[in-house]
Amino acid sequence: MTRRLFNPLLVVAAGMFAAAPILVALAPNEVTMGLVAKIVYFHVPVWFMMFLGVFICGIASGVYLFKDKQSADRLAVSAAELAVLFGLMGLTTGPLWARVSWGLWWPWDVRTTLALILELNFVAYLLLRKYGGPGSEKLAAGLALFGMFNVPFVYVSVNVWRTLHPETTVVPTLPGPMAGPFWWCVIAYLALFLVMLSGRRRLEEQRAIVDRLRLAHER
Amino acid sequence: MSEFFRIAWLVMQKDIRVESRSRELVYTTAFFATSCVLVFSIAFVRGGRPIDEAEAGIVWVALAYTGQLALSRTFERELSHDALRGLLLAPVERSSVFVGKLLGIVMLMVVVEVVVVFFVSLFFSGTLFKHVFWFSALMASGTIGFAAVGALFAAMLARTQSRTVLLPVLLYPVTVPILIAGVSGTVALIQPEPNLDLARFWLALTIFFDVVFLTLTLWTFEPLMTE
Amino acid sequence: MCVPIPGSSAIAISAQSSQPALEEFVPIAELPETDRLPAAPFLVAAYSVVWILAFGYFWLLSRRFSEVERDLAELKNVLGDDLDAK
Repeated sequence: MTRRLFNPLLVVAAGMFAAAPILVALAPNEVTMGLVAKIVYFHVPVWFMMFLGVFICGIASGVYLFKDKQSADRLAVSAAELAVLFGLMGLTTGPLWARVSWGLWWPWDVRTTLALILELNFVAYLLLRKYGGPGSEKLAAGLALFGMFNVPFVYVSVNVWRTLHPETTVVPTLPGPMAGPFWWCVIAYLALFLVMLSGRRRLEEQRAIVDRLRLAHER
Repeated sequence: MSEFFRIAWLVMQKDIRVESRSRELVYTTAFFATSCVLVFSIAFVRGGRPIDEAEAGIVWVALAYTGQLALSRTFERELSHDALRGLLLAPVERSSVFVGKLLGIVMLMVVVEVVVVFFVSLFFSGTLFKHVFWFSALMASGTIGFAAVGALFAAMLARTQSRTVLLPVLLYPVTVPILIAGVSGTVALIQPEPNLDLARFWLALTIFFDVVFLTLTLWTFEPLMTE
Repeated sequence: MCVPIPGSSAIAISAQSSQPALEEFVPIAELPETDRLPAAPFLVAAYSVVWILAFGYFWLLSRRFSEVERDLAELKNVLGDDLDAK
């Protein structure tokens, strides 16, 4: 499915990204934090994509563990790489925003900490796959499942424990002029995510073909 | 169902018997825990007085490091004479074998915790014992959660290359939520005016973690150990 | 938990003392000049980071693709020779 959609998706993503800065610039400034709050237009979508990557990896890992489908494993490793990538984007844009709004580079509240933990979890996934030797795909799949089940704790923590981080009620209450560009950016990042995911999966498929051919050649 | 617990009990007894002959794990991990506490105490004492509430963090960090050591050593033991394969080939439900090993590890960690809490209380004037019941409950549920995840990962990694460095890499990101809850709960208990409601909240959260992680480990143990 | 406050911008200090957590974003038509300047470099930096990481990943992907395609071509040659030899 993703193969045929790749080119249109690429065009959509490129188009949306070209339009995004214009929309973001036109959106009104927020009262307490001013211009810097415009980081929300890409900080939050980037985190959404990171969570999406985590969930896709977790579910694909579950399927791979219990149904033994190689295609699920390929999807899992691609999603994990994207989760780490978008997590890295979020972890760099977050402190930049925090430095201006709150005067600190890293506010040690539960949400930012647990988000960092999630990122480490999936970096560990990639490390395990790279250095664990043969058979580490299944072990990594187990780790991904654990990472996925940690996500609700990350998201709920800010609602349960008052912190510096804006509460999760912020997004639904975004007023009209700000909500439009925000959701535009979310969809733009989603298109980007899907483009990257399908490209990465294709790479895994090619690698699997090379491995199979190598094995056949050695016989 | 009773068969399940009988096998788990047998596996735990086997581990205890092996351990009681050499007592290697108990002595070395208890000593390691003590050195951990010493190092952290030195790090967190200023002008001869400890930093406020440092003992909460020290207890849980010592537990995390010692626990990881105990876990990797426990499963390394199973590698000699192919004991691990023997355990896996036994005609019993594999998850009961896992629960047996888990119980053995929890018992070892409890012994280590007694040592750690003793020394931390000694160095920090006994503030940990103000609410013994809640503190013990918090430590117990934290230990169970940590041991469950740790036992699964250590078992998975027992036959993997780079296992010594990979266990902490995998274990800590997953168990940090338990550690956060444990430390926060302990801090709430050792305050001059203890916040029991908050401590109870963190205890509930830890128990919830335990239920989720224990279920997950039991569920994934079978497919993960088929290699 | 102790949190250090570096003594820098006016926004930082005022924002920290004003509220513990935001309930919702509120738009405003115009913002005083003094608030804008310190923020712009951070906004630009954040945006550039996202773009650099995204492009970096695409570049990495294309490099790995060419590696795989090279391997494939090489293998096809070798296997083709094997088949011819038989």
